[in-house]
Amino acid sequence: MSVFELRNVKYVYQTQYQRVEAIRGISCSFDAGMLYAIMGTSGSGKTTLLSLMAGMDVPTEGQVLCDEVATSDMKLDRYRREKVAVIYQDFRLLPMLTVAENVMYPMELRGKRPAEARARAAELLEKVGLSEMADRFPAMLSGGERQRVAIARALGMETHVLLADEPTGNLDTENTEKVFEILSRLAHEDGYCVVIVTHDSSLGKRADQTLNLRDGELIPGRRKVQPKKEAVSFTRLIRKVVKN
Amino acid sequence: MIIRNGIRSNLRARRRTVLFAGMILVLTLVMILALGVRLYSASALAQCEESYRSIALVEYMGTEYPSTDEPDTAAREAAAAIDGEALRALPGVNAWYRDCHTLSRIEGYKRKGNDMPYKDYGVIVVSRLQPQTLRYWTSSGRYKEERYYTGLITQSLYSYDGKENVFVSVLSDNMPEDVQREDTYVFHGKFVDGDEYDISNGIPTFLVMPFLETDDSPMEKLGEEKKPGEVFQRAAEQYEILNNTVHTITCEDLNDLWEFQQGILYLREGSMPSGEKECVVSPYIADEMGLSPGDSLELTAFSSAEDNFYYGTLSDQRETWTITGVTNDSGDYRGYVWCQAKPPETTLYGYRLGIASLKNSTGIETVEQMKPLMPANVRVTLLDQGYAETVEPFLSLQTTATNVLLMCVIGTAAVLVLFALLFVGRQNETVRILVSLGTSRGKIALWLLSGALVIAGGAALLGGALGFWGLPFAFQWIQDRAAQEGELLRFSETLVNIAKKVNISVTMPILPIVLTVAAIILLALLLCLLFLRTAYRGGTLRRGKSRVHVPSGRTSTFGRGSLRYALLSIRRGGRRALLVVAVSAVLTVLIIVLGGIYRGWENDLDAALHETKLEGQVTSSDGRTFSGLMLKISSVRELYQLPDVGEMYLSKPFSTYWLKEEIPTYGEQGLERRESWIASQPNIVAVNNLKAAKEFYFTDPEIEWADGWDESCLALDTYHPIAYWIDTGHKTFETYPAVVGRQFMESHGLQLGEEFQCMTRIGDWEISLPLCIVGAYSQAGSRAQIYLPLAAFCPPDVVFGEELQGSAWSYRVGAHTLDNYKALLLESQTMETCRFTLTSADHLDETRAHLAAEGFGWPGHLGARRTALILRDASFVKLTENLGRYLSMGRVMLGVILGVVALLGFIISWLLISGRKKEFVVMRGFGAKRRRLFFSFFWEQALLCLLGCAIGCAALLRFYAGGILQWLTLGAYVLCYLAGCAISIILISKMNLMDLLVTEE
Repeated sequence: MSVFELRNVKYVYQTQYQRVEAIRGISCSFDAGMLYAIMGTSGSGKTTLLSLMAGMDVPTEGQVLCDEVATSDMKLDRYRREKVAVIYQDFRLLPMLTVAENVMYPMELRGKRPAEARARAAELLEKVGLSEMADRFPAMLSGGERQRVAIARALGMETHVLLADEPTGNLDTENTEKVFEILSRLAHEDGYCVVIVTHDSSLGKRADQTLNLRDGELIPGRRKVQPKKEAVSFTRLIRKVVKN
Repeated sequence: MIIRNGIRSNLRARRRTVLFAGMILVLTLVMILALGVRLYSASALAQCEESYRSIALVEYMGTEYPSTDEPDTAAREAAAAIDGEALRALPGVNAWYRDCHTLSRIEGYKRKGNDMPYKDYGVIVVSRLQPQTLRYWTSSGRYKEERYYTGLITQSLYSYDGKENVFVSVLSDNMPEDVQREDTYVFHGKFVDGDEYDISNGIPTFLVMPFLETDDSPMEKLGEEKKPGEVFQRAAEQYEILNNTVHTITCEDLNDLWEFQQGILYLREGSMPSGEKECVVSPYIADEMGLSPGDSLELTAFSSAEDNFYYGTLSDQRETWTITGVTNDSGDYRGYVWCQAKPPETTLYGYRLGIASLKNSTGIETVEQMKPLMPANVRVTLLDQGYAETVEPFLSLQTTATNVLLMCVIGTAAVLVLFALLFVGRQNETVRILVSLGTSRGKIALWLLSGALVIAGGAALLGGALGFWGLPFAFQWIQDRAAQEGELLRFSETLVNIAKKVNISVTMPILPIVLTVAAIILLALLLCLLFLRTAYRGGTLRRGKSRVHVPSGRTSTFGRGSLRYALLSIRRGGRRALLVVAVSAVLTVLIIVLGGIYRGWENDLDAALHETKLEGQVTSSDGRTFSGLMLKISSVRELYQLPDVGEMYLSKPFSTYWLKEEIPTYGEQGLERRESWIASQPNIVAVNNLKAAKEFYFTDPEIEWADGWDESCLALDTYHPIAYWIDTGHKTFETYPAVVGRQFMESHGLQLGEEFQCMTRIGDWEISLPLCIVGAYSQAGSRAQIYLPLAAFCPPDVVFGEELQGSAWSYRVGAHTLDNYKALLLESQTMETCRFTLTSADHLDETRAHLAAEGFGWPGHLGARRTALILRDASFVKLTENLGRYLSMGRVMLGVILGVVALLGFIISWLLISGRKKEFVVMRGFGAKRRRLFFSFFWEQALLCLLGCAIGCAALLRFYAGGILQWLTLGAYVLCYLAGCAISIILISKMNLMDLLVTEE
């Protein structure tokens, strides 16, 4: 089932000296329960594409549709709040907030009371195996832990689409594995549409579908599996992953 | 290449470069201007200090002031009471000179003109005496005949013009009855105006008078040898000496003498003495004796008698002086020699007790310190040649420029710190890249420093050049402003001396400008070097050391929305939050303290303006003498009617007084001596307040009043004018209340409240006036005046009342009504002294303009009414000038501080917010609304800023002086801080999120 769609998306930006055509008419749809890997060389437009999908800007031409609603038809703030969750390579945690408060923040943006958000954050942190770290600050965590906090925060947004920009870029092999496992299960067992932007070909090979971005154009790669309809217990899976 | 790239990379950060280059340029420009103005003011003050000479003239306010030869014992006692050592010990006193005015004799010198003390005295030998008859009416209306003689002067033992072989009328009460034509007599006496004795025969009249010091007969019939007696020979010789003495003024520094300091005397030729035994002479002496600078002069000391300056004997003491200069031709200083030497101990004559040479810069304060050290009735007058007025604008500018300079130095240092931080300290990325390329540390330093120094140096040099170009305009502005100052102080007692003009030479302070610019560049270099380490440390590996700030605290669920995030950020902000609080608290303290000081000055000025009751007085045209004036009552009345004039005190000595039994017998002493005796008696003075009496001008009277009486009796209008009473045919008079001297009462056995008869002369009438002693005062002078109510001379309503109805002309033609008499007084009579108070000092400049518009003049500037006024305002002017200077400096400083504080608030909030772009990105990335985002940061900064202000206020609440100025300044700081915060949030919010995502902080 397609939850996210790009229709002839073009993105051009003008610097002081040149006009850059970063995305040159991409059309593509993304299904729930699938893990996509957008791959490409440096400067191919991967991050730009992910940013357009995350609602950071609107395309110069074409449409980005989420649940069949175009980003150009709704306020981008609201789109980012309600439609997509993003995980960044550098985690982007708020340094003044504790781990729990970071997870609570998007929930509070959606109008949840702090107490409710606190309870939900505890659940999510437990899901990512960081329940004991709730009162710590991001600066006290390792890279892998921070990324898991970022994932918990993204989950707190309760969206269907999870976008990840080089989520393992700053992690070692062990943490990369852990994070990928979580993302994979979120897609396959909780039915998220997970889109990863990466230049790591080993991760790309393990995605359900690889999309190669070359000179602003998207070339679909092989598709491994069909999206699953049923979800399994996510918590159990996470615990298993963490235990391993 | 490294340098070129370093410069280029910095210059290409255009906004930052323009902002900081602009700030450094403006600060350098202002600093150069402030420095230039300060140096110019300092140079002007130094030139004024060099060119002006301030003295304090110490004078006794005796009854005969400003006589220079009066033998007043009270003045001598006052002079003796002055502690010269205490005066010299005052910090503003350079030297103290007691007055030393003596007479000397120059062998061969003969005086000319009317300045001989015994010009009309003579010793003459007369023959061919013939009796004549003199018929006249006395003042009491009796017809009288007297005999006088005419004769031929055959020999003048002494007469100033050597009369011989001329006829003379000889007037004497004691001429022998048997005078024969062939007799020859020698007479001692003086030549008088014959008309005054009703002798109009066209020949000189000689009044025979007793010798000055012996009781020998003033006439002698000569024998065959025609040789006058010894006493006549001696008298003639004495007159020869007495009439040809010269005035000798001795002082350690002649430049400090009043006449030279005030420019009344200056040198026609030669120079002022530079050493001992040198002197300056008046042109009369130089011309008479054929002397010129370089010649020697022998002076023989003359010992004056205790009670007569001009009478005495020559001593054996002779001294030779070298003439260094000849003064200008001044009528008041004929026959004077000014000797530069330590003055000998001499008896004081006249009222000048001494002169203190003062430091110019502290003249007014020193005079105020001298006053309490002076005995009663002594006036201390500051004569500073207009120094205070001249330097006032320079002092004001110097203070302001110094403070502006200080603020600029602080501002420049702050800007350069920020500049070095941004252009060097935060160039971690550049350092990282350069390090990764294997660039050596030295070259990295060269890269960063070259770029930063080109910007800072270029801006400083440009600022310096602009300052150099602008300084002449600033100097011109100062000169124009200084020229406008004098006009405002019309009627001020500070004008009671010459206003010397000094041309201030202007020198462009090239070296200080160069040094300032160099200092700015050097400071920029030092700070850049300091931050180089920071940049290098941030751009290289930390060898496992983490310097990341970890907040403290536990997860909180307190609050909602943007306020929740703001409160969390405040709690966990660490040094960042503390910085805002600390800066705000420090600036609050600064603002409150400065505002409090400024408000204090304002309060002082308000108090000075509201509470100072300025006094004024009518004076001579030079502003020095306030008694012995002839002030038309009509002018006095118009002065009183001006809206600014409050109380007014008047005095008029309208006659002398004596007790009947005291007057010398008419027949024995002769008419001349009787008249002379009456004229020398103390005065009856009509006053409406004792403050008007010249005796009490400089000391408050100590009056003992009789029961039921007080000073108000002097202002009563219930008494009749004595002259009017006589004119209307009254023979007896009502009893007038009188305030008399205590010594007079004691010497005549009178008591307080007792009545006595006092003789006086009104017009041609000698009358006996009944007086009741209602008050007794401690007389300071040797002459005890009697003070009567003003109404005894002039009804007070002539001056203070409604418009008069009578006619002076009607009175003259015989309509002797009181109204007509009042009109006559108004038209034709005068007052001797006039003091007044101003209702308020609030609008002093307007009052001065008003007085000028009404035709009243000020010292050195006679108005249309030919009356000069002065206001006793020296201390007030000094106080208000000081406060005004502080206030104008305070206004400039508060303006500068407000600007600096606002800029600082803006920069700090800008830097703090712009350093948190990542938080923006995260928040916006998760879809936070702009409004929420804005207030998340805004509340945080606002609360921190207000917390800092609150701490500052709490710490210094007692400095609060009641004005809103400091709160306004504080409010302006908070507003500027929040504005900087809001603008930076809005600007960051407006940035494209895509750009923000890739922005490195």
